[in-house]
Amino acid sequence: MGVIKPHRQLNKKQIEQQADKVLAAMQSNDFMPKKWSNLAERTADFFDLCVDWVPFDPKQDGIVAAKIYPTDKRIELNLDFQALHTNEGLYQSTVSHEVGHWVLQINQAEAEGTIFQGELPLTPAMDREIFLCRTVDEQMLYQTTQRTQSDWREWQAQYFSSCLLMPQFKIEEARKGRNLLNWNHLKAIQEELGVSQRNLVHRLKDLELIEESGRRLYPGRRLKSGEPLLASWQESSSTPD
Amino acid sequence: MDQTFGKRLREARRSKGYSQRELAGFVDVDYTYLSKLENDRADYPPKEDVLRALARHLELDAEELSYLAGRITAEDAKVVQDLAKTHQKQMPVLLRTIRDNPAIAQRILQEAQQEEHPEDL
Repeated sequence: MGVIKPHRQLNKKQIEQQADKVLAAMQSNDFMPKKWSNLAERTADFFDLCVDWVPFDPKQDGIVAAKIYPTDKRIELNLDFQALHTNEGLYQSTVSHEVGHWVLQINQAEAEGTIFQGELPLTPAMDREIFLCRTVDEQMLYQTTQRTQSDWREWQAQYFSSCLLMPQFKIEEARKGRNLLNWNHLKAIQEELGVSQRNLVHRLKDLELIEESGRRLYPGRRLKSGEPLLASWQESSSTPD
Repeated sequence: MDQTFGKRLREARRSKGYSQRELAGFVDVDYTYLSKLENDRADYPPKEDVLRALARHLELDAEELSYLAGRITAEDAKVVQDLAKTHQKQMPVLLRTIRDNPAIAQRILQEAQQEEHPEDL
């Protein structure tokens, strides 16, 4: 085993269960944020991952929003990436994306040095292995042409981020008394959860609550049938793997 | 000594449940500067009023925080200034020696304490 887990094909349900488990663990350890819009940072704190703003070298890194250094337990955010400062939704999405790498793809015990390298000796380069997030493009969730393992890792981390920031119970809670087909109501939900509009719309589509055509919103299968989402994360996180 | 200013700050913020952005807002500093402080990478220690505000919001001892941050009290700063005035050439040498050789610093401190409190001997 190494710091980075071997590539695993995880489906949406498996990733959502992982996100729900994280939320349940935070809840039982009294670690939930006072404001939901602080969830991403709070989750990083839960895993004891430092968040650090540093200038990146575009020549070396390309256009990168964030990186995670597993063995240092550090998430670096690109100080010069303006949208991270101005777009709350992108900031939350970026931090929780890096947490997604930590949860899904990193051998945490190994990264923390609590167990020894079992099979192959770590080279200094491997020990410092990082994930470069070249883009935190929420559209990537819906691309179907991922080809490389790296693309899949990015997709998994981004889907985890979406499930973490918008778990089903929270969507159920936030949509009460609101019309999901009204953009103003969606804006209110978006601000309450601290996510971007596109990310929220994608999540609602994924949960079959709405459908979208151009800028028009239509009821999805669940909204039409009145079928509720899960009422609590305990309900989903208790599902065996 | 593995307790640094950054670690102390981060532990306290974590246990209080504040995000970096929240705490930075409370103490009126930029959150990117707070991240540098937490990672012990800041180019300069926080100002006295920021230290006091951090200590207040995180319920930490302001003096301990101040020393961890590399700041000294105004009273101590005066002593250092006086010494620098009267021993312009020796002071930098002395301070570097103390920094590079903690055993010497320990011995000087012990001797100073014995002079202040001879009854403890």
